[in-house]
Amino acid sequence: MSHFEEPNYKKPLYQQLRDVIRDKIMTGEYAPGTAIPSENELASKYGVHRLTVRNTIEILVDEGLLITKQGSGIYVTGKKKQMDIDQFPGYKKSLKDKRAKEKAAVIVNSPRVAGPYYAKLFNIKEYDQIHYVCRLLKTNHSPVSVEKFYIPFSVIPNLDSIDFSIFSTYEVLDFYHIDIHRTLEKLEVSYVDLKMAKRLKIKEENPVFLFSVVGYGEMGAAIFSYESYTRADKSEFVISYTR
Amino acid sequence: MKKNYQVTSKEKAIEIIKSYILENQLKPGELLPSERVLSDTYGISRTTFRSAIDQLKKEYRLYSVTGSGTYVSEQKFMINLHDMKSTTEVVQESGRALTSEVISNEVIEANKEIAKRFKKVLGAPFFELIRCRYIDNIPVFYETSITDYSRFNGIDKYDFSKESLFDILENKYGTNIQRGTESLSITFPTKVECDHLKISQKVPVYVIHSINYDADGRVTEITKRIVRSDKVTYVNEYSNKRE
Repeated sequence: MSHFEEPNYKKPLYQQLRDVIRDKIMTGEYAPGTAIPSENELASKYGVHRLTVRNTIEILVDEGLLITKQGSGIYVTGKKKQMDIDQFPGYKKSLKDKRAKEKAAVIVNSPRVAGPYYAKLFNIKEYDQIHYVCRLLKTNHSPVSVEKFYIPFSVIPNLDSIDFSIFSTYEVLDFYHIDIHRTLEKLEVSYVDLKMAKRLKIKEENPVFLFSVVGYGEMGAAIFSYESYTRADKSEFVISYTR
Repeated sequence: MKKNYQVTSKEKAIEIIKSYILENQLKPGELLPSERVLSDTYGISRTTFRSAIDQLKKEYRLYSVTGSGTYVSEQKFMINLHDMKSTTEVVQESGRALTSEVISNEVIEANKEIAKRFKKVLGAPFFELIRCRYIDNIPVFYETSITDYSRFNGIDKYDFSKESLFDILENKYGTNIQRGTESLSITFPTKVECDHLKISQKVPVYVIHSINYDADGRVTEITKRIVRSDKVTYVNEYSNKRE
């Protein structure tokens, strides 16, 4: 129920349904980055017409609470913070083919044991759980990057319900209002092993960009670690600066 | 909750080595334990440690000396493009010596690319400065800079083996660079670039195109910079709470 107004059964159905869904988003029952039930499911659950559901969804999309992705569903976006991640000054990957669009395929989206290295990085115990997301970014024609993202459970638990083919890891940090106090980005040239080469459809002797980012929280501890291997023939990195 | 991701033994070996280096604060040039010792200590096969070490060598983090062992690589020069500092300032602040050798220094006629960039006609006079730049006597950058000669008349008279181009523009012509963009790609060097940078044609290089603008938004200077990828890491540090 809405916390601000008395429930009113005389309100049009689409408005009532809007209140229901909005509440579920506000209380976290529909979590940022996750899909909500489909139009058909909502229609049958509440016994309303599909067009009523569509109407409701459109309003919530306009309000910026939901986004729809053709062919895959309706997703909760979470409230964006004032500071847009895209406006973070730093290196941006840019495809050489300006008309190409990237799509993400999720290879891994699971918890794992921190192990010695990530335990040190995140200042946690070796047997603590961290979340690991690995994505392949590709255009219609070919693979471009493999991204790996690590975040401790103490920062965001239960990331595995989020659909990372729709949302970037940065967007998710934003949804959860993770306060990134400081980031350190590194851009290097590297080579990859056979497994990664196959994934990127390149040869082991082809150099790639290795782009890594570590984000730090208020207390100075690392709160996420990100690295991507990007085909050098498909993209470049761009940075702008002002004095 | 999803099932845990099973970290592969190669990933485990890589993370053990990275954590070993952190834990023991190994400095560049210091020796890593042998594959046999690593294998005995951590219960992962020697073959797996060998392939983990191979990957870290591909990332320039380790290097091997035949018959002697595997060592931690020298830190690459960290260059922060976002600082908007000239190469001269960046290198000097890190306590290293930057020296420049002028390869050529002449007034040329604008070709199509230059004319378009500076909004001038074909054949207009431009100053082209080609320098090879050394950090602690190691050749690292091969730079071609272009400025509008009609605007910076007489600029070819300065000794750019001693003076920085930005300093001359600022102090002698009163032009301050206000903002700029850089785009980084990876390529292999040409014969000429190899000769100056003293590397083989198999060593990948960054090719960086930078465009710098003055306070009025006019293009002031463009540079194409070939940079040894085995010597330089590009970094960007961003802090949310910048004073």
